[in-house]
Amino acid sequence: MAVSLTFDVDGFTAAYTRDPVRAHERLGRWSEFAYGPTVGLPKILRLLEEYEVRATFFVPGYVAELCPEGVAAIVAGGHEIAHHAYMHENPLGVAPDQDEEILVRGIEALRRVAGVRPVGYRAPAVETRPSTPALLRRHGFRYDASEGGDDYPYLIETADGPLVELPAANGDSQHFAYGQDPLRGTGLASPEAALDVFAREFDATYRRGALFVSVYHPMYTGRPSRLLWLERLIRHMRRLPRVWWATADEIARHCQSVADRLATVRPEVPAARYLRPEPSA
Amino acid sequence: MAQFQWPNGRRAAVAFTFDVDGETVPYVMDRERAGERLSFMTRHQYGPNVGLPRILELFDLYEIPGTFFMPAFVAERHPDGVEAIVRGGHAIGHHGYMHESPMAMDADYEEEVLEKGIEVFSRIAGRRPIGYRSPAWELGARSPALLVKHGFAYDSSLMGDDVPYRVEAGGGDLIEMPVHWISGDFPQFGGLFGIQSPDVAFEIYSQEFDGLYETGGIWVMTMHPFLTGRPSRTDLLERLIQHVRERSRVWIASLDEIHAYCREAAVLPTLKTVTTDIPAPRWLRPPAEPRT
Repeated sequence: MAVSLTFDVDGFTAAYTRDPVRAHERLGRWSEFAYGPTVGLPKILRLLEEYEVRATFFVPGYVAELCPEGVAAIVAGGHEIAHHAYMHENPLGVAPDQDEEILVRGIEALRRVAGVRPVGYRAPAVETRPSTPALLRRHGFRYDASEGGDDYPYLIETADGPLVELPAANGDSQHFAYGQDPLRGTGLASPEAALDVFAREFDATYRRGALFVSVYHPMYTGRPSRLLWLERLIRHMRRLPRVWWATADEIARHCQSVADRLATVRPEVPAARYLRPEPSA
Repeated sequence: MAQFQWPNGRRAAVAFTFDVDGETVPYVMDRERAGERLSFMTRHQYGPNVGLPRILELFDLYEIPGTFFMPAFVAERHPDGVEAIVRGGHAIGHHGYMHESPMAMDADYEEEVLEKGIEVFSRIAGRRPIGYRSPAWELGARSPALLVKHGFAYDSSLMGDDVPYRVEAGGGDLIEMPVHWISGDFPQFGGLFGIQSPDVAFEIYSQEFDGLYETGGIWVMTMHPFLTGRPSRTDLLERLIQHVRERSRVWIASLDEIHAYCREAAVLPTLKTVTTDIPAPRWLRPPAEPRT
């Protein structure tokens, strides 16, 4: 089986995502989200170093620009830097003709700050549209990690060749995201409860020899009790032999080398048929 | 109350049921934008594409039948899945066309959806469905009469008892195979209230089964392949099957089979009968004036 730890370093952008109008006045919220790249990230990097695990960090361009030392530390640790939009723009909130501009801005920010040309992408809020895979290929991306169509990697067909999909199903937001204005999350879970969910899913994935890509946010998992949680989780996963720990891109490269053995899908959403008329108000 | 008599000295009946909602869910949750939401769609296609075959394999291994309710749109898109269900000796039931809640339709449209689903299943599964489960378990007061009119023999959407009962409507009746939120995977894994570990879900499910076993009821467990078909939850389902099978006097059957038993001449008169009348309110406080 293959394991890849992935971190979405949303940080500063989260303030603007949640409250675009008042974010620049809400110091309380700003501090909550700035904690991610400035405090949580270094702690996570130390933990990964201790356990000799290399991971993948999806960094919005804006976060890279505001926190170049964080990006430099990621690169110095031998980890992968990947693309996560510029201001963490959820594709559902932008016109499709802006997708490319956002993608390019993100690429340039990472290139300027980190000296890296990203080949991996995760959509903000893991929301892609049918045109996303082709756009990513056109800009030289090797893989996407936003879908959830299988437990194994698969290929998405595009005019510019196949894009590797590394589906990710387990994330910390489902357990640790919490906000009151706007309301967010489903209540705070204990690390104990979250460990149970992750560990069981890992064990079951292991038995099936599938792919385990999990998603963490330094602003959630960088908090003290969650850092201990992540350490316990890493220890749990390391008990088992014959697990390939790799960055997402290393897995994507491997997938390209065994492409003929992977399933291929087309980036299509089946159209609804016979959809009932909207009830009158 | 006298205990419900199950066949061959069995103490309780168990039906593992699945709502294979597949590609309809994005359209139910976000009909305006579903066509644009690729990654969102893939998380639901996981159900019929990955979860369903995995669950069928498990049922094959344990040699037990299941019951699969499917929106007709999903059946049209996955004829192989339908065929595998039929080939495995499982039951298939009607679950709307695009997973339409009866509460969001007028009577004509509700009837149209029933007919359309019957046509699709007759064509793809090679037989008319005799069972129905309403999307979101929202059966309307008029729905049972429509189901009777269109030849359905049982329903599995109501929560009125621990044992099967008869619902009289439209000059005929339905056998009701009652469900409850406790015995469903959506409250545990659907994400609206967080995501539970398989251990917590196992405790909730198995203790409800234990209680039903004591009183001799029917345990209708409702799952979704996009949720329970995930690796750790398929393991949970296996654990649950093992737990149920530890009790020697359990009848694990499809709802079609349990329905056939309930219709037997000696059994039918022992079923409780209810009507579809909902008592009118009395002395109901008027709704509060909206605050301005």
